[in-house]
Amino acid sequence: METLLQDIRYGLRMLLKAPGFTVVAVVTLALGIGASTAIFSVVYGVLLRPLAYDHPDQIVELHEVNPQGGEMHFADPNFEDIRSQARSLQDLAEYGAWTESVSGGTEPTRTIIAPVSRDFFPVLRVQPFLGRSFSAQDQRFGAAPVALVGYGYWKQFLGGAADLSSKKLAIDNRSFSIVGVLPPQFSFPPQAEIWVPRELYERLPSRTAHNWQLIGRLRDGASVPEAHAELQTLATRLKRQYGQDTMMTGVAIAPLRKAMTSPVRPALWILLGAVGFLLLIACANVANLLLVQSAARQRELAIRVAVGANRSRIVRQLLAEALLLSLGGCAAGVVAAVWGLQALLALSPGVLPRMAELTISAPVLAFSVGLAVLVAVALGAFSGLRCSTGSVQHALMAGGRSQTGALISQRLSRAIVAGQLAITLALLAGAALLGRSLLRVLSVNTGFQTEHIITMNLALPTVVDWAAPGPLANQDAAKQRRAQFLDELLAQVRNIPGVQEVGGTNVLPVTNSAADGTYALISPGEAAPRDMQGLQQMFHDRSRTGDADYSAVTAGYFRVLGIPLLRGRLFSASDTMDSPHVALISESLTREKWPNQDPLGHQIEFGNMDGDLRLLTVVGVVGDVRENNLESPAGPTIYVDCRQRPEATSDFTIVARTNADPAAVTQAARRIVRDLDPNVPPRFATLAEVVSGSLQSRRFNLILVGAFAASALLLALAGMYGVMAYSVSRRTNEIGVRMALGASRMSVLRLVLGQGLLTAGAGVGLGLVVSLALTRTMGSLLFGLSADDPLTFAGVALLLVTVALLASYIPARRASRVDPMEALRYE
Amino acid sequence: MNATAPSPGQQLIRMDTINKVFYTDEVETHALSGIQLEVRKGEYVAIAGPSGSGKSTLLSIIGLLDSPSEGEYWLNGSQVANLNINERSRIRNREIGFIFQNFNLIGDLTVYENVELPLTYRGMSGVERKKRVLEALERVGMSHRLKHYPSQLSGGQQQRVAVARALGGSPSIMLADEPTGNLDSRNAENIMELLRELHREGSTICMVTHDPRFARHAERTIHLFDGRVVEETVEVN
Repeated sequence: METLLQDIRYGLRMLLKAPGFTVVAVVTLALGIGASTAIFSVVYGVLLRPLAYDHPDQIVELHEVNPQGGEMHFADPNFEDIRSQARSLQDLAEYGAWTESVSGGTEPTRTIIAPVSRDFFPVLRVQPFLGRSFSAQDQRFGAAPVALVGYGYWKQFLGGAADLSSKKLAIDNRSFSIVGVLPPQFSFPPQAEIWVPRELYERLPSRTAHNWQLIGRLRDGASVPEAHAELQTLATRLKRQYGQDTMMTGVAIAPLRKAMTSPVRPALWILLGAVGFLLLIACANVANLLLVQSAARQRELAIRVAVGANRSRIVRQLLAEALLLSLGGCAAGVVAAVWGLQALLALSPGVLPRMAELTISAPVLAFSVGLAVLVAVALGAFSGLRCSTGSVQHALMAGGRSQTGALISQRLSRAIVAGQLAITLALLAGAALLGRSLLRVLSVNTGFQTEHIITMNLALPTVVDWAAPGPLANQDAAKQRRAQFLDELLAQVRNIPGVQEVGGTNVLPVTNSAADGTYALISPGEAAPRDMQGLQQMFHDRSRTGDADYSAVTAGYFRVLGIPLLRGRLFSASDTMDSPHVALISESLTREKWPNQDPLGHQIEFGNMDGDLRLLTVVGVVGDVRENNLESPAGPTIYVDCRQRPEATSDFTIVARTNADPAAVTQAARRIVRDLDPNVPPRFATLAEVVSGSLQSRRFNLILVGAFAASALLLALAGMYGVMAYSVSRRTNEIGVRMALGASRMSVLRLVLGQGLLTAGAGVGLGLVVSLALTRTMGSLLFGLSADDPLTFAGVALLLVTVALLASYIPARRASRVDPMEALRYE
Repeated sequence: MNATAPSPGQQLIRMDTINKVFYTDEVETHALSGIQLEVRKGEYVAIAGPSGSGKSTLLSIIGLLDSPSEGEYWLNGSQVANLNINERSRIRNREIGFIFQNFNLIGDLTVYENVELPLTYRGMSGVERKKRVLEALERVGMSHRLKHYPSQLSGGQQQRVAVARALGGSPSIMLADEPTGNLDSRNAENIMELLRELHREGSTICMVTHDPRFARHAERTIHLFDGRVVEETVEVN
């Protein structure tokens, strides 16, 4: 222990004695360790950290699987059958989540509410920390509405009141009594703040109405594969039993943690790999610094050997020094990681799941310290090996200068730099591929314009009147009221000074929120189905059906977004709720169903999307629009007139084209909405922001990999410069001799640049091989180009060689200006 | 007068047909050829010869800094020619004290720490180390400079500290490689006097020198030329 302390004390003294070296090494390691810690904190918090529930590995998420292998939400009857028959699950629950306008608190809010079925809280084993959970009385259709609120909502909008008995919230035209408050940090489904019984909402008998998400808890001792096998058997049996009435041919089951994080999983592992590369490059730079330092310390270490230090003592001494450096880098890195994590969170609103749980926690700190120790061992072992290969007697007799050792060190340095360049090339190639993918995405033809368009999203109450008797789907009076509300709202917005055109839609393009479903083509003279069962019968004939996105819009929507009318007409004032219902279809649907024909006048049945079984007559064809996202090609879309069919307008967005100041228009529109319904807080964004937001995840990946690549390039550049400068300083005498023998300044310049080019060439060659292998893992993140895109690889290789030559140029220039007389006296 | 008979005493070093060959690229250099050498305990031996004669190579092999290409080497009765690197370190630490021409003190350690260094590698207790360090520095007259760094000392003083470092471990033999090479004549005389005094007190010393004036301080001088022993002379006082 005493000798260990001695090693550490001496190491500390050595580091303090060379503050320049120490600061550069610590900062370099801090960059690598800090970036690694920040990314690992995300990987740990998102992918690895167990969910904060009792026995979290028992909690699973389930999806129906269709014949094409696609995963879908569950339909009520299928859920009920699985729930009653599955033995491997002890609890199974339906849940949903959507934004509602909520009033009754200190101010109206747009809040995510989650209808949850009976077993939801037993699955998660969560109890309110104040009040009570839902009772059996609460969990039936027609019961008095009750709600549980989240801790944050309770604090912010209910003043943290202990007595909840007088608290009521108005949601969707209903008054909910608050019966309890859920514990702090509980937020499932993500971002939900109010939970209500799912049983308050109508149960749909259709086995193809895929409306609900499912979570379950495995029975004690049951595994996911066992449960999957059982559920698969059940699904097969149900398919046999219900045939065309259900699309479910299987059930997908996955641990909830995995299911929640699967969209970001590949990107996060790639980012962790990228930051690992950055750490490697930082270590390589420090290794090179140590090499230079070890040349200077050769004599000191030789003396230690001469007076009896064995190899392990020398290595221990060097390890102690490396550990001090590395722990210094770790401490600075953790501070940097705290900032880095904050920056990451600021960069990624909505990109990462479980964001609230992201922090530099104890396991993350342990990772960071472990990494520092690993780096120390690697650097210490590297230094130890280097030092023990030197010749002791030469170092002692020649006063610490061994030409052979120096030559080996320089070759090793250049090999390290070549390795750095290779890794840098891999990172640059990754960043370039992501960058070019983003550019390609941005250059796709979206089918609509984004400039000078303001959007105003409203969470409106459901059209149906819950208090009215009879089936909820047939309430024309409620629909009339909604249509009038929308007319009034659109008219007033159109009157705002500077607004040129206005329209509305239930779904904005590229927001991944388009609803799609099956439609049926109607033969001339054929009547509409009488009920949903009749519609299901119609769908049995696959030759007349197809799948399309459903969109309820106004005619102005097409004009505002510049979506061209290719044939026929747009919706008009004559299209009222009582007149024949009309539809516009997209060009791709025309190509699919009426190639070389005029689709106008044909009829479609699409009532399973909004419950209105009246036939739709095609009156126009409009251009294709990328409804879901920029990456997916435009698919078939059927547009209905939202004044004829306002059922789907509870989430409604006004779009307005204007040349006026957006802030002024926004202010005026806010006032209009407040006057029409003070309980509906609007949310504004320009359409350009909406489109940009759809690329957030892609931009997030690019910024991170780009930042790592830029840091790697800087470090590699510094490494290259350092090695070349050191090499030139060691070769001053040789250069002097060459010049004394007649070498020109240009030939010396060429000599040094040639050496740099050789190193860069080796690094780039190796890097191309490594990159081609590694970028294949990025396939899912790319768009419009392959992982081995030759132009990208040629570009980054050229960039790297150019930068390496620039880094070599200053030492080469210095070498070419050596005074032979001075140089020959140098030794 | 010159003679070829060795001094009396117990045998400390015996070398039999030691060869040392260096290979650089395709060139083979015979640094030592067929060296026969014997050093007895308490002896003061000088190894003399012109530059390139193999003096330093021989001293490196005696000091276990290097190993011979061929031949036998016994130190204190043990065969040490082909030991592994750690064994050589251990024996060097316990049996051999080095004094170099360029002092080879570690600039970042104080006088005290430099002398203490070989003892720390021996795993000696702190108390024992301190006693030995102070004794050694007392013997060379440097006990008043414990906290100084080498750069704060003159060349002669640095060499005294180097002698103290060699002495501290009570080695079987002290190997001095041109110990006066970097000193002015007065300091050189002082160091030679110090070595003679140590020898009088019982130390075994083997010194490499190319200066006949200093070789005369030794009892016996082995003359090397082109890697071979060409003559041995005994100094008669």
